[in-house]
Amino acid sequence: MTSSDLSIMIGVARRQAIRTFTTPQLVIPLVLFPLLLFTAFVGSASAIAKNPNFDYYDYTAFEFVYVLMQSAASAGVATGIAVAQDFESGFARRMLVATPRRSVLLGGIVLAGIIQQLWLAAVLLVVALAAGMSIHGSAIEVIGMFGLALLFNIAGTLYASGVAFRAQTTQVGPALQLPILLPLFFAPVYAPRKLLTHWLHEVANWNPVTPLLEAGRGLLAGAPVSVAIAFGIVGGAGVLLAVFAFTGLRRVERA
Amino acid sequence: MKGFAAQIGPLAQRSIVRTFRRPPLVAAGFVFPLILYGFTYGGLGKAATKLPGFPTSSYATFALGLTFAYAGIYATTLAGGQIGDDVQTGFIKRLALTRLGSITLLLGQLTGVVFFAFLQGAVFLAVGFALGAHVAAGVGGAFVVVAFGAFNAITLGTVGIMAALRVGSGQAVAGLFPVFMASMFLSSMNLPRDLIRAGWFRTIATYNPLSYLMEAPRSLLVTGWSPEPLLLGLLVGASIFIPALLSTAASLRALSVRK
Repeated sequence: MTSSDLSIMIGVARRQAIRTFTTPQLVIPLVLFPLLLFTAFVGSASAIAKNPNFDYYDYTAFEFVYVLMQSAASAGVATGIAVAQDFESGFARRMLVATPRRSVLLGGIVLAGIIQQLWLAAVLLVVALAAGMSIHGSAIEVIGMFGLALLFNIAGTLYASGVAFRAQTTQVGPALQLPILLPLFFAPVYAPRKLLTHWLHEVANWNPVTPLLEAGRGLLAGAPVSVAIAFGIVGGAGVLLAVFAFTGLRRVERA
Repeated sequence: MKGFAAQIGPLAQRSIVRTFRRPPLVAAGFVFPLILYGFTYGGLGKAATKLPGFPTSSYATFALGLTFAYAGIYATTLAGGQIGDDVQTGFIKRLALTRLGSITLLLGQLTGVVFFAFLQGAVFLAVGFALGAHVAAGVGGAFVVVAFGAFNAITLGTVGIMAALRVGSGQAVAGLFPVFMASMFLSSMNLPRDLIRAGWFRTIATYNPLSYLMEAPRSLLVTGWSPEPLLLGLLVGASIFIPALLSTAASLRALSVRK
């Protein structure tokens, strides 16, 4: 990668991130939705921690990991919607003409998603710590948990961008969110897997988001579980979705 | 009375037809609350019923109450969106210039939404029964539960109409939906208020009107005929409905004044 490529990548990322943070329709749901879920889940269902089979150390921490993963996916989707807006306004075509290589453009978009996710994770962490969350994991384990969320965010950005390259309209927004939100809902959200109702337990067993949540919660608790599986899932999904996004971009260029 | 029926009839018919003419909106009115119901029931069903003092051994029954509050929330978007469209096309202004009373106009516009809420209620009950839910208040109670869904639709649907008339656009009313959804998450949706451990959240849920619109039908499902939650549900609903109705009537009267 040349210094010119790097400067283009940073420019694309900077523009996407600034646009997301200065567009109320994008930034308000991006910040408020995870905060609302965190408040609602911790506030309304913390009594679940009194169940003798609830074996996690802190309910606030239990829900923090869920909201962190949810926000990682949402930040990726928001980036994809911003890309779709660029196609509607015609700016994306100008960007394609001005950028020598597809990978640089895609890299800039992914970098924008990462910036948004880091910012969101920082906000969530401050709120969770203010709400009394304690961290039992070591520094390496906590970094591992945030790394997992970051990889999930990259996978989400690549998926959302791939869809945006193909659809080139913001009307695809709800269809874009559903495949990400549904697996996040049918996972161990309120309680560990063993406390889920039978049918949801079965769904959660097959849901790829489940190991992600369990690994994140294990790392935060300082008792890692399913870490390799979780990294394998998000890493594998990232590679597949990179191909999906890249072929989408190639299709745009051909058109 | 005959004149009233003649006035409201065509409006009601139009309202019902246009409510069902948009399949994606109709589908969203059923699918989303059922996903929310399934998610809540699946996630909390096993753990919540073991809590000391939980009012029933069937969380499928407890969680079913949220779908009837959702019927009201969804009515905001449906009714507000329809009126918003009418404002933008100028239809509402033409109606306001006729001899049609503002209350008649409002009731006519709400008919489709109420009809839809009854249908939603029947489907929600059927799904709940399939998942093992029951109605402690019996067969009569089941009808009242569905009627409460329709009452919630009238109450919050009127708020949607009021907002659409004030803003003049259906799209702007769509912004109310996330606000109400957020309120639903901050209510007694997951656990009874006395079992919510976090004091600050219990306070929010206590001051949240949606808690009462949810607890009224839920009480019929879980405990049977208890006057307190039913009366509170009706009173809270009325305290939202009456000001919204008066404001809507004033907005409609203002539309008929030539400027």
